[in-house]
Amino acid sequence: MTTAVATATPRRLLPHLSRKAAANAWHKRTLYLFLLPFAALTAIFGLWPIGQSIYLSFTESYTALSPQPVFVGLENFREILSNPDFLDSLWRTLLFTFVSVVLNVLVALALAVMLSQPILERGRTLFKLAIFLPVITPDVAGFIVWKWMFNQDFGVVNAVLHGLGLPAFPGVTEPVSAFATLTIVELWHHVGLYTLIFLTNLQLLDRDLDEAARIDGATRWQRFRYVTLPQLRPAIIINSVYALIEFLKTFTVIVVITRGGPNFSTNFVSYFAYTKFGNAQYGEAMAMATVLFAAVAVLAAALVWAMSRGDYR
Amino acid sequence: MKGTLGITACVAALMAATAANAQELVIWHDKGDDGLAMIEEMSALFEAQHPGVTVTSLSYPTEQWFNRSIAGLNTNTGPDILFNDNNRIATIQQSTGRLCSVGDLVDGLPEGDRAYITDGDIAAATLEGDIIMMPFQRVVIGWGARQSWLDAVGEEYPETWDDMIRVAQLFQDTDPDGNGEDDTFGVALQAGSAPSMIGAGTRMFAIAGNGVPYDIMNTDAEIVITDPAVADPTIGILQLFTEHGLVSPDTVNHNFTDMYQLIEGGRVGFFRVGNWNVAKWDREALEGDYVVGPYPSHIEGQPGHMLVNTVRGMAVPCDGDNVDLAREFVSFIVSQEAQQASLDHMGGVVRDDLDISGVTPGLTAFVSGEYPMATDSFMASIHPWYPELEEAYYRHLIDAVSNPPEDWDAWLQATAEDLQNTVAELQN
Repeated sequence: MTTAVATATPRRLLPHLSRKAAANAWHKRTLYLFLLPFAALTAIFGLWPIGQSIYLSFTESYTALSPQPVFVGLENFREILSNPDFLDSLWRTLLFTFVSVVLNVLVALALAVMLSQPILERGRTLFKLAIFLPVITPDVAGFIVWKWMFNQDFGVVNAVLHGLGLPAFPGVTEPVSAFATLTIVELWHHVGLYTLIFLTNLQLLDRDLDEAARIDGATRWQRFRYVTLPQLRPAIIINSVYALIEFLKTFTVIVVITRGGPNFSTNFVSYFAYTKFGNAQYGEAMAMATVLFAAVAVLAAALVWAMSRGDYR
Repeated sequence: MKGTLGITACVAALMAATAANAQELVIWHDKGDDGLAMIEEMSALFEAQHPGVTVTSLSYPTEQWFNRSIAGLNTNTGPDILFNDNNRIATIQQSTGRLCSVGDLVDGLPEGDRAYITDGDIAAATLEGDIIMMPFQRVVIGWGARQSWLDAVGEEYPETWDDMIRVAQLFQDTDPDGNGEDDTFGVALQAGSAPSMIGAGTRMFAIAGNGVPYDIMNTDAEIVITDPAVADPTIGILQLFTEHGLVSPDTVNHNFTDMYQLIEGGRVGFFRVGNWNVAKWDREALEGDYVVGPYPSHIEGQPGHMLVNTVRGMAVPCDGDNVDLAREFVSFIVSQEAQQASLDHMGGVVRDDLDISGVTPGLTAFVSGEYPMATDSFMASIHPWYPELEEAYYRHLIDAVSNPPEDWDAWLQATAEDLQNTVAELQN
């Protein structure tokens, strides 16, 4: 009997479900009415530009902005993917993203754990403010200050190093150090937000679990590793995905500080595509942007999938 | 009551008639306040000959100018006239194909005006055989030195490359500004992009310094960088970064704004001077403490030159609302009175019969005819893919700065071979 019902259910229930869904939608019509303007705005200002940029990536550069763009199929993608400079740029972008995501999440976690210690009771707000301030500082203003700080002629970084009798740091004048410099600056700019998310999650932890582990004789490290860290998994996922998206799209810091140099060592995909606009190579620029968009979507989805597997409790 | 109505009707009719006759030409450019002021004065002069016609201009940042112009021309929402440097006008034409030839206007100029437009101006204004803009301003570049620093180290303005290196070393090592700190550099360059490092660097010392016609490739598409007159300044510039260390280390990322900060901040002895720079540098920033001359030469006994680096002009979109009037205006900009406005506001002209008594001391060097003038070969006008070749060359140059080769001649030879292959690919 049960088997018969189970096999018959889908077809028989479909009209019923449709009617139920329709009735449900009608019941919530006021809610949908209020959501409609925002859905329309999202479609116009969010989805339409993305769709348009993907469409332009299939058109010839010189006609991309004309009323009748010439469709060239995958030609722009073939062009950029056979260009070693673009592949180099893509590789550098991925490397920078990997290093930055790992560094930001680890540093944010460490800062959050430190800030949640009872010993910091009195100065906690001040420290939190100090760590979060760079997040709300306008990008360009902050990056210009960093550019001056790393300047080889009058920068404070080398002045301090010189004062300590240490060798000068080449800053953005050499490829490897330029890469490192951008990593440091981006860490400064973003780590406050990730720290705040970790801090909020630390306050929501189940204290009984930690207490039970302590009574069972677990060391401080063991309690952090096996009790605290698993409970922070949602925050780690959110921070990692958000950081991944942020760092794959790294742009402003390059425009302000290095302009892709020296010797193209910081010529990440967003900036590379931007430079193509200057030569009116719109088709190739859009193809690069589309590849980046796909990379962001695929990597973010893969990260969510990989980190969400299994029950962390 | 009747009288009031009558007067009102007359005024309304007069206004309507005026509105019907009034015409406005709109020009888009990226020349900032100087460009706006020049066109405002030209407008007044043009209106005196064409009552009811006004000419207004809008200045955008260069990148916005590109995007707006291309989109505007492709959708028939563009201006009546585009004003910019020849390479930028060429890019617009390549992207839209909507700029009309003005060859007939150039040929139809009064003889007194046409005589001032040189073959070089025409070459700059031409793209694949069509004259697409009316040339009216030459962008001339010379080499400059801090006069007080020359005095401090007891040297004259250098005529040869070797002299310049020697004096630059003194500028860097002897505290020429007397502030007691080791904070000066010999030479200001920019190396953050292909136009920076080639257009404002190697090309200057090859074409202007040594007087050769080409700096990367000749008209037969043969790479010429191993020609000694090109090779010497090319390697010389690279060695300013490496062996000599006479530029600021940050130069590898510099564009012109960064370079100007060094120059105007009084931290560098030798630098590029354009005829558009001098109005500001004579009155503030450098306050006239500089001397402009030709680029130093590598060739014994051969004087250096100043360089006509680009030519600015005005182009007329074919689909504009006021094409005939726009064509009249672009013919007008070569007239003596319009050229005087160009000289007074932007420092660049094509005529040499203007009143230069009012120009600033710095500009005098550019308009006095005192120094020989070389002209760029404007290869992008002949080969539209030339900027891509420059991009490829730049990658070699900046890589050599980061990883200096042991044998510069071998590096140059290998680079030439690679570029020749790039030319073959681009031609295909």
